[in-house]
Amino acid sequence: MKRQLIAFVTLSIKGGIRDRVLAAILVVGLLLLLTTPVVAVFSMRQVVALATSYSLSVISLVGLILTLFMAMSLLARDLEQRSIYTVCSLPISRSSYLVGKFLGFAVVIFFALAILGCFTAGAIFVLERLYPPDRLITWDAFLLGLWFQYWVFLITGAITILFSTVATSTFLPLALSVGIYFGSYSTEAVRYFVQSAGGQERLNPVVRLLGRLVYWILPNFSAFDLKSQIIYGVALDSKAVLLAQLYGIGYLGVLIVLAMIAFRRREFL
Amino acid sequence: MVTGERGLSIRFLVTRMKRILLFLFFLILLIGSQVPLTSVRSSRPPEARLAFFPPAPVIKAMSGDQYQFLSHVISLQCLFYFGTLVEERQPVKDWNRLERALYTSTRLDPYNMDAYYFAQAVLTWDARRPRQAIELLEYGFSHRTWDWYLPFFLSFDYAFFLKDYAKAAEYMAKVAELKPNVVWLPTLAARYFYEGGETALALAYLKEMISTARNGAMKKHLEIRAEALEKILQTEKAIQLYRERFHKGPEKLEDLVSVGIIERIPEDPYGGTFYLDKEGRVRTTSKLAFGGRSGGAHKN
Repeated sequence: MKRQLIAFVTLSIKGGIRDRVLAAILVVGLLLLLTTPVVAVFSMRQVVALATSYSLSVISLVGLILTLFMAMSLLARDLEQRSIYTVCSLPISRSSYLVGKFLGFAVVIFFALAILGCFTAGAIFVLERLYPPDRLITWDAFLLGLWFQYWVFLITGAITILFSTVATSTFLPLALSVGIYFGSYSTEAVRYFVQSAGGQERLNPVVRLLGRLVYWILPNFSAFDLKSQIIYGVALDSKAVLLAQLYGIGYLGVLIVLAMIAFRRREFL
Repeated sequence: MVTGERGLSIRFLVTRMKRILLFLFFLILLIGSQVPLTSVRSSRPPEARLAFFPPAPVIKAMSGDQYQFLSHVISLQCLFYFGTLVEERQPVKDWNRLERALYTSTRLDPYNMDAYYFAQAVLTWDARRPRQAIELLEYGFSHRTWDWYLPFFLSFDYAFFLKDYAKAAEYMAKVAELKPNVVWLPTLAARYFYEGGETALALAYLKEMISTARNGAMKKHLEIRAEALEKILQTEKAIQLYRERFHKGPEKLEDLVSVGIIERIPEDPYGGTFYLDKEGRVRTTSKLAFGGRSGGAHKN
């Protein structure tokens, strides 16, 4: 079982490394990060803050594209090439196949994020010396912010894989994941509005219930967003950080188990 | 057989020629349209260069975690738009749009200092909307609690524009709390609360703004204002001299020239003309703005 899992992890990592589309996306990301100083000098008062904001935006966008492409092709490629039939005919559990593939995906995304993160850290380090800001970047917040960004990608990837286990087309899981990714940064704001006096006054009970339901079902990515803490040195709330991490583990676990159940029940014609 | 081969090569050449001709056609279309397009886009009125931004909650809901960077993009757009007008020495015609853009930018990222700096530099004097600037700055200070610049700006705005010296003192105390080692602060505070020399106060404040300005267009904008204020200050000093000599104030600025206190009336860098108002204060027809347009709340 363990050996099978490792084999699938390795296979998934190799697939990710060999994928030219993924490499191209990463190169584009690195090229965009190289333009950080050019963008940052336009700032009137906060060169380093603008540089950090820009590079974190690039990381988030490039990371999202990498996540979606890799997670989408993780099962789709095996289905297209019909190698899934070979896997299913072997005495291997489908769950270890799925978990192995997901772990491989997690390793590739981790290293991609590490490369982008190192580039960003280098750019910020140089700019901080050229244009000393009022407040220096706190590197522990930077690392924690990148770590949480990684968890956002893991959850988004798991959502795409979950949809891939049930959907017959490759486009549908992608479209749904993109929608959920962007929506998940607003669920907290929706909940605040629904609970506010204005929300109670303006919205009917059904819409209010829907708003609350959306908050409990979709992931709350705002909890993983530490950009203000990184860019402006706003103090970290250790309790919120710890709870967000536990929430992330829980959410990811639920998604993976659901994907395993769905994948085990799926019939390949 | 030979005829067949020749026919094939002719057909191949014709296909190739067709491709080249098609490519050339599209290339000529591209270049032929890009040149006039560039001139049409450049001749748009400056107002059209600042985009309409949807409200902050809409941008936030649509942009995932990109809202912070978008806040910077909006404040930079405001700066580029304003910078173009400064370069062309043109007045801003749509202050509402600029103010709304700054509001959106600060609601997307309440820590975005560029937006507050821009609001302070432009909304107060040029747009003559100090209350709106104060509202933005107070919102900013509720987030950037460590930043002494925001209470510094607020203190100046309350003292200079709203004549609310109690509020100004309150914010100046906050500046002193956050930045206890500022050498020039006591001098400025003294001018605020004892001397009451408004032009000197404004000049001291502007010099601080200029010394830390990074953006070329913004620096130029502030320097023009400082130059105008410097000239007003010189004229005020000349009036003081006239009063000491003749025990009454001059009726018009030309009186200062006729008695030889000054050689000539200074030129307003905004293109206006300096004059004396009914209270004997130095004013300018430009109202310290290119185009001399009043934004509403505050006069000169």
